[in-house]
Amino acid sequence: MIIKKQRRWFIKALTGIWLGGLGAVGLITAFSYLPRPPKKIFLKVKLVPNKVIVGPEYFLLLSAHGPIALSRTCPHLGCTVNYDPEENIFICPCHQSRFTLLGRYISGPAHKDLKPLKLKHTDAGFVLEIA
Amino acid sequence: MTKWLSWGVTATLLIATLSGIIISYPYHEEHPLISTVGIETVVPFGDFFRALHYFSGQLTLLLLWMHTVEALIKRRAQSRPWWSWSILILSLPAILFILFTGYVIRDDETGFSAGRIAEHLALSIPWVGKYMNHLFFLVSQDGVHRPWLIHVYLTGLVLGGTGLWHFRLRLLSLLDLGCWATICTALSLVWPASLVAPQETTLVKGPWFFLGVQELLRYLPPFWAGIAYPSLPVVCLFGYYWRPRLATLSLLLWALSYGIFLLMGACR
Repeated sequence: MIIKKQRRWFIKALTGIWLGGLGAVGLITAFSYLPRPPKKIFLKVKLVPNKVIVGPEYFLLLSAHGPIALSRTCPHLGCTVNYDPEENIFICPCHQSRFTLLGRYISGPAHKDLKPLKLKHTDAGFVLEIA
Repeated sequence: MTKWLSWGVTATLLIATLSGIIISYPYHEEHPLISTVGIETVVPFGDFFRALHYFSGQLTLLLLWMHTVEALIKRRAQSRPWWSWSILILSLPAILFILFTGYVIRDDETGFSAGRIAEHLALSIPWVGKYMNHLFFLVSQDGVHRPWLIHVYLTGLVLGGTGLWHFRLRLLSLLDLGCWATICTALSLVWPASLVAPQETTLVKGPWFFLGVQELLRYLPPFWAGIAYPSLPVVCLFGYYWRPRLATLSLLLWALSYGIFLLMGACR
């Protein structure tokens, strides 16, 4: 009788641990689908008119309306957009989508503008948010 | 011809796997481009083994493609059970995928762009796209980890699958292996394996077999150009077992159109 009770208790505990483990794995998986916080980059640069600063994931430049930052990810298929100093435009090297220096779509398969990035000007420099 | 081709596929795949095992030791998926450059410049004979891996992989695809065309011409589908034909057909997209992930995991200019495009193409698949991306790519969040795993696992699976079929008939002869190893070695000694440094360029070309899709992506939405159109020949090859005439006509039309797009992409 005692052995039977112990066995039942052991099976119950094992089932509890297994279900708990499964729940924990499920929670971790669910959390991995939550949007990640944006990456913040601090930039200590001096912006000059008609000069584009090309970062690994961003373009930073001084427009007529003030400093702007644009994502380098092409809205078509995610390739990294490059700056063409000869034509003074942004070009996606994969499928030749073209954008103005303000990130406005000109031609190509993208059909969307480059994504503007949040930019904060502080006394020490610029804080850039890449989502 | 049949034996020469089928054993050529097995031999080159075996050479690609063995050379892949050698270069997988100095390769680090956390620093894919740096470690690939390291293989080329620092590791003793690293550039040779990388070239051997590269050219044997390319030859596997070419020989498998020729093997499939020959099987179609000689109407081998009807003399085989449907599952045997399906394995031969499945090995074609599998080898293509292995070769494609091989470009992605070196993370140079071509590989980086190819990975991003593949991720977006996977996401364009209705309903299951997100899961497909999580399973095979997710390069924007996880680097080349998943393409690397697929590259390794799928190679094992294809080698096991095709090997089981071919080794059931006879063992791979040393003469076959030696001939193909000599061809791969000669190619590796003459040409280096491709590696494109990241640069501010206005044109990036994908892997040679992907150039047609890359060209088509300029004109059509991602799902139609990158998923539906490249899947057509696989569907036709499966259908060949039941409707050979219709499948052959569709395959010819597809091959003709893809050849044109490939040329257009190559001439850019």
